[in-house]
Parts: sequence; structure tokens; C-alpha cells
Amino acid sequence: MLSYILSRLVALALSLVVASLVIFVMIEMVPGDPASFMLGLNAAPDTVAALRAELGLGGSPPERYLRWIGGMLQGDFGTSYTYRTPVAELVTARLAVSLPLAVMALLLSTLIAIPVGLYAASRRGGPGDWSVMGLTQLGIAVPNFWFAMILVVIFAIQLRWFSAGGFPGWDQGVWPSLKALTLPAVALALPQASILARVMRSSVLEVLGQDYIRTARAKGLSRRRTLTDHALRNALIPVLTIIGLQFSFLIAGAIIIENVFFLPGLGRLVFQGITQRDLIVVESVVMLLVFAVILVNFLVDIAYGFADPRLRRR
Amino acid sequence: MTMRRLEIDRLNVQIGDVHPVRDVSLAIEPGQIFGIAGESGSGKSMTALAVMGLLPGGAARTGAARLDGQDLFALDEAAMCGVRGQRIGMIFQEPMTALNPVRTIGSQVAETLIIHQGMSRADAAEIAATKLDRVGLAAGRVGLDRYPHELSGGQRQRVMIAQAIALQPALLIADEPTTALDVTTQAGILDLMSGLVEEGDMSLMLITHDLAVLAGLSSAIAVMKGGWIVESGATETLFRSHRHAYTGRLLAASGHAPARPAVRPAATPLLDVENLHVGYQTGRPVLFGKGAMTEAVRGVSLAIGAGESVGLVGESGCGKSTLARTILGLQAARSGSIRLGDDAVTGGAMPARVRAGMQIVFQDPYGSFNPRHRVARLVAEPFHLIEDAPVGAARDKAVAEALEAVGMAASDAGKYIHEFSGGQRQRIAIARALVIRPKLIILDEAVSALDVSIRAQILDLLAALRDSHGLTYLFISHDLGVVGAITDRVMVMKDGVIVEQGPVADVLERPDHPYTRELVAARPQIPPEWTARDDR
Repeated sequence: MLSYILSRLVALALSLVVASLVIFVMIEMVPGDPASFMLGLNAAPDTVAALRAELGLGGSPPERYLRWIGGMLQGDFGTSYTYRTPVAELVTARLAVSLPLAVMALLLSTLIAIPVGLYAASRRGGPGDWSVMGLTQLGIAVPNFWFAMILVVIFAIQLRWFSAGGFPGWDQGVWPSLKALTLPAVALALPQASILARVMRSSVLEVLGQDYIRTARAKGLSRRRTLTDHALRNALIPVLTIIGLQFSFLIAGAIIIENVFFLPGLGRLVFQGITQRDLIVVESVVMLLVFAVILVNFLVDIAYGFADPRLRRR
Repeated sequence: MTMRRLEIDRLNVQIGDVHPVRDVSLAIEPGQIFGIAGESGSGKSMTALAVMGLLPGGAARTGAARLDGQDLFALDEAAMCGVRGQRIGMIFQEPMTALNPVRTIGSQVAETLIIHQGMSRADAAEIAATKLDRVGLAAGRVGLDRYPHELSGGQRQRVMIAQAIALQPALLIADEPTTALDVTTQAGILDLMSGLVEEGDMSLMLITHDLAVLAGLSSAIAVMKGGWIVESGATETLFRSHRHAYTGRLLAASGHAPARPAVRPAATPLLDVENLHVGYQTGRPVLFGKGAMTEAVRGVSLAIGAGESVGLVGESGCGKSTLARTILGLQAARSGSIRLGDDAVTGGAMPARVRAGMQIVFQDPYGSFNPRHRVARLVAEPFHLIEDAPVGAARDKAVAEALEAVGMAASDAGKYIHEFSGGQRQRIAIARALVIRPKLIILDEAVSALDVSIRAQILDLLAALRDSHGLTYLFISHDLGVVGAITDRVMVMKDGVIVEQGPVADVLERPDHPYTRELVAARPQIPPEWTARDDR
């Protein structure tokens, strides 16, 4: 198991190096110079040059790449061109919203999807299965921003249980912050849960067709115990992959929901960075997201190792 | 009147419009080994599943099955859960997939004890260890904490037996328990099961397609065909004086050997392998280094003359399939040389012309075809190896000829592979190998997954094709008997080395190497005097 983890760690480090190179090259290739963009069309060339130097845009590409990577390793992500504040501060503040939101949405989605998928599979072809399949189809089809608005109408405007948007900040206490993230998390979780429940269902059905399920029944296990003791763990293996993909998506992909609920999240930061040619912010956030995705994949790989002994060997 | 252990009374099983089991009645005495023989689809497995109450969804059963006088069909599901695993144990054919891959073997054996006796985990693990020890998996060698994938097929089947007998059931149902295993492993498992029956008063219902397996083991046999029991009786009587023609056919198929064409010795060998060494990586590569290497083929030299049929025998893992892949150029050799006619087989980027000289037929008729292609395309696949491959009507004609040569219809070209039975698929696989007229065909366990009767037909076909198409065969199998039936010369391989070779009759009758002797002895055989009637 230890050598398996080590080999995964090496893969993680290599992916990070390759990803950082790709991001750097792509940002280099984007047309438009941030300095001239900030100063406007009529700026004098030497003013632009001075700003370029100030922003750290001078030097050869390899030099700039190493400076960028070296800075990030020390927690220095550079200074935002537009906000004029360190990118690290900006990103940390936004992550304080996006990360808990993603975790909440993922927990919710997993907690709904796994039992629902298991239930539908155990009632294959019955009314329970049909309802689950229908509802999840709807959950996938309905756009999450529309669902978010429905939630706002019901729970914020009618019932007044939650606020319709905004984020108080964690310094205002954990409970109000969590409360502010609840509706967005639900809106994000629903389509994810629908997809995950369907994956879970088909995964369980496939496992139920395996020979070892028949063996378990021949040993005298009831249908229910066969499901929980033999089918569940085997069925979770492909579901883990989807959970990993969903988490990566949720960290950065919440931009529409962030807009609906006026949440100062990471998605909005990238969006603003792109429109304002704030490349240093884009670069850093993208790198951070890549890191998050690779890290999650690493964790999924480790979870695979625990779930499936065949991967652990040697 | 003494109580029967199991009494099946006019059992009928119906799934939709299909009747897989019709009016089956039989009785098994305490301590008896009772054989059920028949081809795939004869209803023998369905009979067993009906007794267990594990028929597929939508199946209906009528009749009765009484275990020690108690009607099992009258029990509800909860009561049946108490019977399964406790009073009836069952083991299946596929040892590779019949165990849960994510749980240790110890926990799977212990589970039987935990669910039926409410034992604590520690107590159950202790008893599981003694049961595994009983089936020949001593804790010193194969620990309780091992996972199924770390075990061989024979060892997994032993784990299956351990969990089935953990609670000393009154009846053990074994459904083709050794069909997927090597002959030597099969002999060990059959030995174990008969030993378990002798120890207590457990009865064994042994289901198999191979009558030879039952000959030395069961005291009574029922022969099934199309859902009916066509004949039943005491084993020896049934073999000596079977009344039903089908039983006769099944018996004949078991030891079937096609008429052999006269050997035409060739001046120069078609295939010439010299001092071949092949290794492959086993361990996971650590960073940029290489994992451990295993040498699968260790200095093999062999020559096969044009028109010859040569057998290569050995158990799984002896290196015979690696050798076949290397001869085909699918795997690189570490040292040594392979020549096919005048060409060197080098693997990797060797010319397509050399590849076109050899074709292979694999064991698994289900897994070796792309299910989304029509037969015409599947059979025509090897044409990409030759430059002036026929196109259009000429190609269709070549495919049709190949299909007809293997006893299929030209119109089968338009069908998909799932529309055919296992035997038919193997015929199509042979047609695919034939279509570009190769010099050498390698048959890698090509009949091992087939029922005896289908196997007999395929062996006849191969013998006929060898004559009509002037083919050379390298016939690879774990079964010395099958190899003996179709080849002129046989080589025995063990641990990557050829330990014995010679004309088939010599090797079969006067095996020299101890391993060959073991192989010959392990083969289940019907005593010749039992079947003497057929020659009359």
C-alpha cells in the first residue's frame, strides 16, 4: 500500500509540473498586454514600459516562469493588476467561500445519491426505480440557476428561512455563514446528486450480476445483506471516480450559482480576471484549480487503493 | 423406509415460454455422490438453482424438492436463507469470479459461520482457519488475510469449498466445479470433494458435462438433455448398458479422437524455435526503475514440420501461452531465434507478410470477437495483413468459403456474434484464422471451454481442415487427452522448460518425466471395459 501511495505521489508531482508549464505557455500566448490595457490606448510607450517592469512582466519567458513558480512555492502569487492587492490574499478570501460551498454541495450530493442509487437498483424495474429514474432525469435536465431561483423564491422570499444572497463572512460566525451557503449548496448538489445516483444505480446493477453475488446468496445471505455486505463496496469503486470529477467541477464551476446568490467566490474572481486582462490572477487561480483537481484525483486514487485490494499489490 | 437426503419430485421450471427443466425427478441418498451429466443448456444448473431457490427473476417452478423429508419449496425466503449455506452448500464453475474481490478469503469463509450461527468475528475466523486447512489451504502457506486475486484458480475453488462446507451441510451441490481448471488441479479438487463425502454423511450432487469425471466418483448418474432426464441409474450399469442414444453419444464424445491423417515428414521445418528465452515484468515499476522480471520461457527449442500437428501441454502458468505469443511475434523474446519458413519472427515491426503466415484461435469464444461487428467483417479481419487482399465480391466469396469450410453457412456472414453458440463461435474463430490461408495455426486452449460433444465436433473439423487445407497445427492445452486426440507429436512444458517430447502414443503410454506421469494419471477416464459395448 505504501509503495502504491508513493507512486501516486510521484504522478501527482509530475502532473503539477506539466500543468504549470502548459498554463504558463497558454497565458503567454493570450493576445493583449495587461500594461497597455490598464493605461488605455493613448498611453506613452515609456509609461507602459515602466508599468510592465512594475508588474514583473519583464525578463525572458523561462525567467518569468521560474519567478512565478518560485513565488508560488513561497506563497507569493504576485500582485493583481486591477485590484492592486496580493493575489494570495484575494484567492484566500474567495476560497473561504468556494471551498466550503463545494464541500457542502459534494457531501449533500453523495449523501443523497448513494442511498437513492442503491434503493433504485434493489427495486429494479419497480415503481421505486421508475420514480428515481424520472426524478434524476429531471434533476439533470433542469439548469441549476433556475432551480436556484426557485429555491430563493420558496425559502428566501416566501418562507424567509434563508437570505436571498450575499455572504456575511466567517468573522460574523460559523452559523450565519453556513446558512448563507445552504441554498447555493442545495442548488449545486441537485444535478450532481442526480448524475451520481444514476451512476450508483447502474454500478450496483452491474455488481449484482456478478458471480460472487450468487455465491453470497448461496451462502445464505438475505437479499439485503448481499446488497450491503457484498455489492455496496464493489459498486462504490466507479462512483468514486465521478465524485472526484464532481468536486473539481464544483470548486470552479459554481460561477453561475455564485452570481445568483451574490457570493464572492473563486468562479467570479476568474471571470473578472479574464475580462479585465488581469492575467496574474487568472494564472494563479487556474494553477490553484489544477492543483485542487490533481490533489482530488490523488485522493481518489488512494481511496481506490483502500476500496480495491487488487490495486494495492506490490 | 429410510429417508432420502434429497428427493426432487416432478420439478418443472418455466421462464417465459422456455422450459429449461421438465418433469425432473431424482433421489439422492445420505452420503451418496450423485452425478448429473449433460451439455450446456440441458437444464442441469437450473435444476440445482431451483433446489436452492435461487432461480433468476421471472422463473416459476412447480413440483417439490425435499431435503431430509422437508419440502424446500414450501419454505419462505427467510427460512430458505437459513437452509442455504447451512444445510445445503453450493459451489460454482467460475472460481475466478465467484469470490468477492474486495474481501479477504478468511472473512468470506467466516461469513458463513457468522450469519448462520451468530458467531463472533474472532471465533468465526478461528473455525474458518481450520476449514481452509481442511481444504488444503494451510494458514502457514495461504493466510486468511489474502485476497482472491492473489490465489490460483484451484486455490480459489478450495476457498469456495471451504465456505460451502463450513457448517457441515447435509448436501453439497457442485456445479461444474472443475471445468475451468487444469487436469491436475481438477484431480485435486475431485479428490477433496470425495474425501469430504467419505468423512461424514454429506451427500454430493456433482453437475458436469464430462461423463469421464463422474466415472470414477459418483455411484449414480442422471443424464439430462433439453430439460428432461433422458436416462438415470447406477454409474457402472449406465456406462455398460445405456439405453438412450444420447448417453451413448455423450460417452463417445468424452474420449473422442478424430481419424488422423498420415504424418508427412517435411525435409525442413516450417517453424523453428531455438533456445528461446522470454521474460516479462511482474512487479510494479518503482519510479523510473524496472520492476521484478519473471522468466516465463527458459530456453525452449522446437521444430514443427510443414503439415505436422504438434501438441504443447502444461498447466496454467507454465509459459505455454507466452511461448505462443512470442512465436506470433506479439511479444519480444529476450534471446533466441524463431523462424517461420525462410523468415525470421522478430516481433514489433516485423513485416505483415510474416504475420500473415500464422494465425491463432483462442480459448474464449465469447471474448475474442468484437460484439458490434458482423461476422463478415470479423472473418475478413486478417486480410489487412496481405497486400493484394481481395476486395468487394471476391472478399465476400473468400469469407463465404472460409465459413463453409468450418461448417457454417455463407449467410451467417451477415449476423452478429451473439447470435451463435459457443461451438459455432469457435468455428467462426477458425474461419477467421483460415481466411488468408496461413501456413501455421496456433490453437491456444481452443476447445477447453467447450462441452465434450461440441469439443468432439471441433476436433473432427480441425482434423478435416488439416487434410483439406494442408495446415500445420501447434495445439496448446492443459489436457493431455485432448492433445493426444489431435496431434502426432506432443511436448510437455513445465516452469518454462519443455521436459518431455515424443510421439503421442509413446508419451501417453510410457511417460518418462514424473510431471508427465502426473498429467497422465490425473486425466479422468472411463474404464475401457465399461464402454466395450460400443465396439461390438
